[in-house]
Amino acid sequence: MSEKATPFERMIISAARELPNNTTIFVGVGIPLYATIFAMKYYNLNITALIEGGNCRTIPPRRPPIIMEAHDWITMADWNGTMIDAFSMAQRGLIEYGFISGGQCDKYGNVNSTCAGNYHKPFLRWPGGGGAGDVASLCKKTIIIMPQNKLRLRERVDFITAPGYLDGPGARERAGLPPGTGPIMLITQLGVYRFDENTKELYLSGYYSGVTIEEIKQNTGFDVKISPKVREIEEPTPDEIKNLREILKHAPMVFT
Amino acid sequence: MGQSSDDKVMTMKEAIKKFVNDGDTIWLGGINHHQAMAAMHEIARQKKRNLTLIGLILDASVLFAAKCVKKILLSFSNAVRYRSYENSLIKLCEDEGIHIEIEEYSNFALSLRLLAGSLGIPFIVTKTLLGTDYLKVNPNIKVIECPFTGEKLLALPALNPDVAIIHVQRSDHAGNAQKWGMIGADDIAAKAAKKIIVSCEEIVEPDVIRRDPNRTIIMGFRVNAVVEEPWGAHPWFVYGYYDVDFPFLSRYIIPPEKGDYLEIIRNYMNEWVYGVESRREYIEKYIKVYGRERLESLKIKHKISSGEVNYGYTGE
Repeated sequence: MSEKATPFERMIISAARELPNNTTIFVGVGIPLYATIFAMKYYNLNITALIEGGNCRTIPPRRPPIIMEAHDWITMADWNGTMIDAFSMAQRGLIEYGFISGGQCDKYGNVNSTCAGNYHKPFLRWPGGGGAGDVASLCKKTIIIMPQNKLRLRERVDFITAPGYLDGPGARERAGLPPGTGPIMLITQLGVYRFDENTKELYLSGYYSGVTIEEIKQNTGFDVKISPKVREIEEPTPDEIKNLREILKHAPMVFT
Repeated sequence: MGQSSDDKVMTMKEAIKKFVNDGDTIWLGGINHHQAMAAMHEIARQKKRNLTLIGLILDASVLFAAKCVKKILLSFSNAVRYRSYENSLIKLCEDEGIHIEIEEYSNFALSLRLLAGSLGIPFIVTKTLLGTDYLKVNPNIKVIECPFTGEKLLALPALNPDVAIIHVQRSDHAGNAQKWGMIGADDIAAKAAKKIIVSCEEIVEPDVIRRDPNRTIIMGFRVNAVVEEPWGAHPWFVYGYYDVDFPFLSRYIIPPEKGDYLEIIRNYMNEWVYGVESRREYIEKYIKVYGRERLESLKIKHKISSGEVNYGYTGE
């Protein structure tokens, strides 16, 4: 394989670099799990990682689990328990970060992992939201990771599975969600987006080398704002790439 | 209560015949892990009809393919997934005159409904999912005002399944069932259910249970049937016993990009569900087709044992 990171690998490395140290993260199925494992292993982050089945660990697994819940994740975990226990901690406001993926994301960071098209007659149906809606409702800050194109990153998602800022400033609070919560970042294969404090709209804050603003616009379904301070993201190092590939070889991406 | 413990141990065929009725609402345990596959295959063979399924991350494909399902209280299941409707289990059911009803939940919301059921209260409130489209499509999710603070809350009605079918590592004859690893919502689903079928890898002596009672998630007096089904969750996994059989699972779980999924699933049903009488025959067939070595390779070989805890006593 080439020494250069693929767009998909850049996305994961970039997300792992953004994960904070000394914190609690509620980790979603698929790409977030592998990015978290990579961050714990490679950057040696001190993270308490919870997953929805009722488990948390503070050391990376010996080997990434082939499926979210599989043995490699429970082996030498700090806690095994129930789903109610795991989500109650988020509902109490004790979990700093949520980390999820999805099928569509819109400019307010609402995520759809339910279906594409009209809900009652969708042209594409995902298996269901699982815990994504709970993570994005209850954790303080949500990080979204998802490959983008015009249909996936759009003006408005077809179904709000996981709430972002809904239809703009103050909407989360009006709906009754815990105050001060919401998405802080979207990471795709083209770049990194953050959310404007006032408008709650996402804007491009960084892009990978070789990606043009034009390409980003072509792959976004709305007129995306670009930060005046937009910067090129540092290339993954050969060591990062090598270590990530070690992890991804265990990942059946059909399940993401 | 009703039954003495001796009556409870039975085959899966008997348990499903006796305790699962057409039209029932059924909790199927596990979340990826500990899927009650032996029970689901038997329900399919007995052609139970109009079932409402409840599951968190549930492999219900065989029940859809066997036309057993009317409705699913869904959080996540590959059975409803499709890239094209024409190539989906939903379409397969529709062709048979069954319009699958999907009631959409998140994991936490669905488990909270069971928690309310287990507490014996009519509904429960939460802060999750407020502002989402779940509220628009699911009539069982409502927004209410807190009588104390006035804040908005999501209200969910209690859920008491007719039957809970839960696959665990071990149980005694009376149904004192022990599970370790992630518990998911099996503990509260059992508490909420009206009837319980315990499916287990091993039936053990009561002493084995009583030496480690903290691991018991279901109390025997609540249990109607205990079925010993080694490999009962295959191709999924059971903590401490065997890992996921990913190549086998991939044969039927996800509609392929190309090719006729309905053909794949029909062949799978004929071969692995209708083509055998029991889980034992299924495993014998597996060994015949793939060899004993491949089955053995799924077993958990590297053992990690917990340190001893003392459940002892003082005095004479």
